[in-house]
Amino acid sequence: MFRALIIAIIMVVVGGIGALLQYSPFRANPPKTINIGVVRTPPALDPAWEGFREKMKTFGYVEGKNVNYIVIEAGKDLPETKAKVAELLNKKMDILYTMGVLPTRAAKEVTAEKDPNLPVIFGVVSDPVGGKLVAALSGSENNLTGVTPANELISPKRLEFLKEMLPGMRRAIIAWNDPKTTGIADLRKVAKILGVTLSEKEVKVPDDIDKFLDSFAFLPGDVLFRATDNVNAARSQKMLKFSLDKKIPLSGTNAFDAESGALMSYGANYRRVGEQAARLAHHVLEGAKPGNLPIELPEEFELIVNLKTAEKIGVKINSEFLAKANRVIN
Amino acid sequence: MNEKNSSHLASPKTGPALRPFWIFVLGAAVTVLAVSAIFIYLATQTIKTGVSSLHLESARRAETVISDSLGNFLEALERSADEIAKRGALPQNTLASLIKEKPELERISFIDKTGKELLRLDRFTFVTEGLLFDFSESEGFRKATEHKVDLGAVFFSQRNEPLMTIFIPLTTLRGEFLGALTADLNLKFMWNLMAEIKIGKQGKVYVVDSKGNLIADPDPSLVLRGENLLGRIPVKKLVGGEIIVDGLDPDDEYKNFAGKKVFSTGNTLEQFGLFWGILTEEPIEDAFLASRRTMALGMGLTAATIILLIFLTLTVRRLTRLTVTLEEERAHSSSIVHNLTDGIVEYSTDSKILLLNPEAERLLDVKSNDIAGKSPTELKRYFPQKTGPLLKIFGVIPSVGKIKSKYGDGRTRVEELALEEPTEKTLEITTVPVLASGGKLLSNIKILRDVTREKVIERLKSEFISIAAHQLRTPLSAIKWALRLILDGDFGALNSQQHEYLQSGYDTNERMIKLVNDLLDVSRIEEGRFELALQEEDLASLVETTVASFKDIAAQKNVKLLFLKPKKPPAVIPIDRQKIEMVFQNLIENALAYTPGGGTVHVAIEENDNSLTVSVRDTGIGIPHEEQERLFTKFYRSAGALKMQPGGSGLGLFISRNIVVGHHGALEVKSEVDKGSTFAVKLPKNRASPANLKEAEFGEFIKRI
Repeated sequence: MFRALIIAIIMVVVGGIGALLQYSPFRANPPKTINIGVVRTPPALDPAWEGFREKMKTFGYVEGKNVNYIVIEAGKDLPETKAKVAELLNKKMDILYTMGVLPTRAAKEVTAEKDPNLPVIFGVVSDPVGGKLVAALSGSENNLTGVTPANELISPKRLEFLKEMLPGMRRAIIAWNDPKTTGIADLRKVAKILGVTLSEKEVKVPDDIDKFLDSFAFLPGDVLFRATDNVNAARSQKMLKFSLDKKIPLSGTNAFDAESGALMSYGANYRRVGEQAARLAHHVLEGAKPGNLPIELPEEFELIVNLKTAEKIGVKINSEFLAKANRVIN
Repeated sequence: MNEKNSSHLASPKTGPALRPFWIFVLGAAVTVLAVSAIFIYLATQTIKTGVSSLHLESARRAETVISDSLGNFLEALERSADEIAKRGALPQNTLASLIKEKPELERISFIDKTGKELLRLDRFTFVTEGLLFDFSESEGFRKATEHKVDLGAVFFSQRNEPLMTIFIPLTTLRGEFLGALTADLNLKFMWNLMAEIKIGKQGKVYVVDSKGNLIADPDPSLVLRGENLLGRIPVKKLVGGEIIVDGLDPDDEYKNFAGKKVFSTGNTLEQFGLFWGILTEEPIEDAFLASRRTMALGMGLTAATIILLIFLTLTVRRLTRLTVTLEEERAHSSSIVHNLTDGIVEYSTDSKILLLNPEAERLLDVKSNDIAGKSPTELKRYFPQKTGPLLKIFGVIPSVGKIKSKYGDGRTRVEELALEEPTEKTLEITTVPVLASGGKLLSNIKILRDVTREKVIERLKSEFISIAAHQLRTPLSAIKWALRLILDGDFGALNSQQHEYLQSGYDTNERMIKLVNDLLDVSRIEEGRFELALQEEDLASLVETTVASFKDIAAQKNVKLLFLKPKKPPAVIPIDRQKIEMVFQNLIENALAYTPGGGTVHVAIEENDNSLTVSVRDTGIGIPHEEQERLFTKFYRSAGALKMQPGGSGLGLFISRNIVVGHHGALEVKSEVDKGSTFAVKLPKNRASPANLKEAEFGEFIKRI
């Protein structure tokens, strides 16, 4: 009888402990390790990669512990990049993070073929709607979501800043490849209002830019205006060198341009773009569908002026304009 | 107690006696359930109120940071407005500086006192003159003309970001209205503020405008999607004018975008006339984890209590039944004890009298009620007169006629006690321990048996034998002497046939005389009159003499009788020479009698530290093992002995052992059939007084039974 009583007490105690464990931390499953495929576009978009990685830490994703980053670099063109992404997908990925239009397009096409449900988070993709990467900013209706730097929106503003900075500017020289991401139509309108001649040339491949620059007859009052597209991105270093060699002011699209020697840049803070993309990735990893997450615009734009370059190329910038700059490199 | 063993008893009463008990048990179970339910309800309510307070605290924190931020923007705008009012010129630089310092401002414009926009700075858009606007009809400008700051309704940009237009009046120190500053403030700065306020793991704070549109959320994607949340009851309540929603109304719960049911509270941001709703939400499973734990714990405890109650009930019920059974068993045992013809005295380990049955009361002339619970020592102190016999059986006061006999395993003891009062009687007192199954001593019992009658009969028998023997011995002696004279030829020569017949008669007469002597010895032993007179004697010479006296008989039987004389003379010991000689004679006689011709009888003396042992070893017929112990009883003769020596009395070994025991020695036998026997007499070297033969004999008797 007493043995039965003891057994009953043990059963109650064991049951009680079980019930308590039901709500205890012991019940938590061991963390799953997540594989994130990353397609970089170095070096210009690397701040977006750094921002992404740092922000992910704040969400509890620790490299080597519960997240693995498998990082590749974009190829020189779409087929090469697609091949690289396809190879990346031979491993089991939970999401892809792409930076730039080329890797994002490659990721979209490869996943559509191989794994249509694999979420792709992009950063720094100008005009993703015009580029037919997503259906609308309110929602991609596919496996993509991300952050656009909105370069096409702010290109006219950049031209306005450039004119304000260099009142003597007469011509803005632009070689563009993607009219959407470049926002060329708005540029043409604003240039007219500002009284600036837009000397434009459509280019197909990076080599076209070289040819254009080498053949173009520059005059005083000319300013190089780098367009926001892949072809221009591929020749950003060449344009910087050209600007410094020929002492022609260059307007870049992001902080990296100004830091590398462009006279000024106006555009999204790519690090912050990377952080925004990390937040989207976190939502997706927690179960949100990429197609339901609106494409985000940058939370921060920055105007940067490089006074060292100004000195090198013999340009004077008034203090009223400098006061407007978010950052001055000197 | 095993129920099977008591199955012969009447069934225990379970019905009416246990009914109130069951009612009590049911009542206890209901009480436990009720108390648990109240405890769980109160605990849950307390937790819910606590969760509500925490949520509202978070909402108030959000309200504070939003108010502070908005206040900062307004302050910056008002500062700029004051500066512009002082200067009076087109405030190009002031506005440029402001838009740079405050990235949240997407647009800032200067409006003259007629409402015409004279200057606009836009963060993204290039502004041409044609884009400048006439604000004269706008509500914000109208308020500015009344020197009032206006924060307009929230609107959404093309990118679905929430913005708000602010109007700040430009007024000179003298109160002259110069125009206004107007700015579009992008409210997405609140998104990060909301992300900073954590509620549990999955909880959050979000903000809706006065129309229920989501304008701030830690997840900007939700805002950018342009969600209107009027479908949520708490949002509806706040937009409808309620200042605080505490979430305690079950209707306030709703399913969030992740499909989880959430607990939600909210309060209204009334400052600046905005009437925005600041809401909190947290999945119910997280918010009330503590509540669920409490409930689980409470239910677990309740279940445990009820299970224990059930087991307790079953245990008590069983115990009750057992108690009834035990009571009956006790009554049964009590009845047996009560009706026993032997007296029973039970006393505790500390000698307190526990029980006396009527026979014990009669024998000891006491009443159970008078002495129960008292120890003999206490009784001696307070009632020595009334309890004399009882005190004697406990040895507290001495008894004149006490005869002690001990035997057994050290626990059980048997004594005889002669009492003079209330009447002269002899009691046989057997003291036995009452042990629990584990061997623990519970109490002791003295069993009193009145053996007065047996003693009298025994004495009469002894006296009869004594008288009869005495009466027989005289004529037998006369016959002996008469036959001896005839055989010796004193009355003339006898022919051989006459001699043979007379010799046969003489031998028979001798056996009769020996039998009579033996009977007299036995009688003396039993009457306690067989006294020993101890003197220091040389045992070796006694043995030698005795052996020598049997030389002729041995030779006649063709049996070798050998005495192995010890090399060193053995110690002189105190013995009754005559009686010990009887013993040796008896043993040697037996050895010769039961050893066929050609056999050998060895007699030897062995000396040890404390004793001398005389052994008589023969090569005779031997004694079966099962008969060896009975050899020493009166009149017992083994089957082999009867065949070989039909004329023996069966008293020799009885007398011999009693003599040896009287010397505090021992007579032991080792024997094997057809191989021979060894009788060993072990006598102590130092013993001043002889033992009481009667006691020794009685002990042997007890040992045998």
